[in-house]
Amino acid sequence: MIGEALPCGPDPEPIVEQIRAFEAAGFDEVYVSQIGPEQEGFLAFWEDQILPGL
Amino acid sequence: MTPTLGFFASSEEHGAPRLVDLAVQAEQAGFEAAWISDHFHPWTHAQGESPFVWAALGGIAARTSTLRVHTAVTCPTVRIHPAIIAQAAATVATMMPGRFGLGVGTGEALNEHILGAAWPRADIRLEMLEEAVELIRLLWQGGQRSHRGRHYTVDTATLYSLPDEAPPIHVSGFGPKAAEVAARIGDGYVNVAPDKDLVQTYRDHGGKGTTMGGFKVCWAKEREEAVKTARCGLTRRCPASSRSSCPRSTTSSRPASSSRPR
Repeated sequence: MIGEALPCGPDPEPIVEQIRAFEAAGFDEVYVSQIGPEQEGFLAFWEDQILPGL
Repeated sequence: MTPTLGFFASSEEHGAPRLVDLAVQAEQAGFEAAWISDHFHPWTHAQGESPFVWAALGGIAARTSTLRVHTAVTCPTVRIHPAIIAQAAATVATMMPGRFGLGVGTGEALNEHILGAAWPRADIRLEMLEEAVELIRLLWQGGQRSHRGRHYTVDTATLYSLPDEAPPIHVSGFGPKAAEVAARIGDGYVNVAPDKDLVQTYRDHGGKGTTMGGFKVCWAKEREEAVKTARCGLTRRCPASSRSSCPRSTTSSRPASSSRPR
């Protein structure tokens, strides 16, 4: 299922978990892509809800 | 320590003006770096875009000031000759000194089949990539250069517009052989899965560079809406190994141009 294969929706936790998974695997840098037209909404969400949790 | 965070701009979903705007917004949102994908065709028709990445990079270079930007990744072997990629990347690097990185990989038939040449086997593509990177670095040294290799010939070529410092070359590898090649010829390693074993393979074979990973998400206010957007043909959920042999994007779901989402 798409919703399980990649983080979908308003919850920051699955995204933070995925960043941590890359970190645990030894990645120095992690790049995140937002699917679809809601790029501005994603960037606001990133600043408000992802960055403070890292 | 939290890894460096980057914004991954999808050339399959956005035209060049939008990609430039997104890079500016990503810089303002605090991202240190960005990836930009490079395709001739998007993964699916529904994605709807696929601009020439080198033109988009010119705009990004002009409109950003701190953002580091990497192709993730371009294929410098079949659709575009490595000598031309050497010129394109050198030009972009002069426009954003110290901020551009050339990410390369062995490519997908989806993009590279368009000129009609037979699509080489994976091991040949890896061999071509290795020679291409060697040739790109040769041209970046400046001066008049010639090369006669197994796959490429360059005759008395001089790259006149060079950056003070050559960009790093990061090599993608979704399997152990490619991760070994990344260690041997790359300044860093790229993957789109959090695969610890492949990072270890890269390190075990002497890879000392930056390891970069990337993934896709679909944020929306409602989960159902996000799942629908992600499912609506905007991404092809198939493993990289099979993706590389998909000959072209699907033909069933391209919306009429007047109703294409922007």
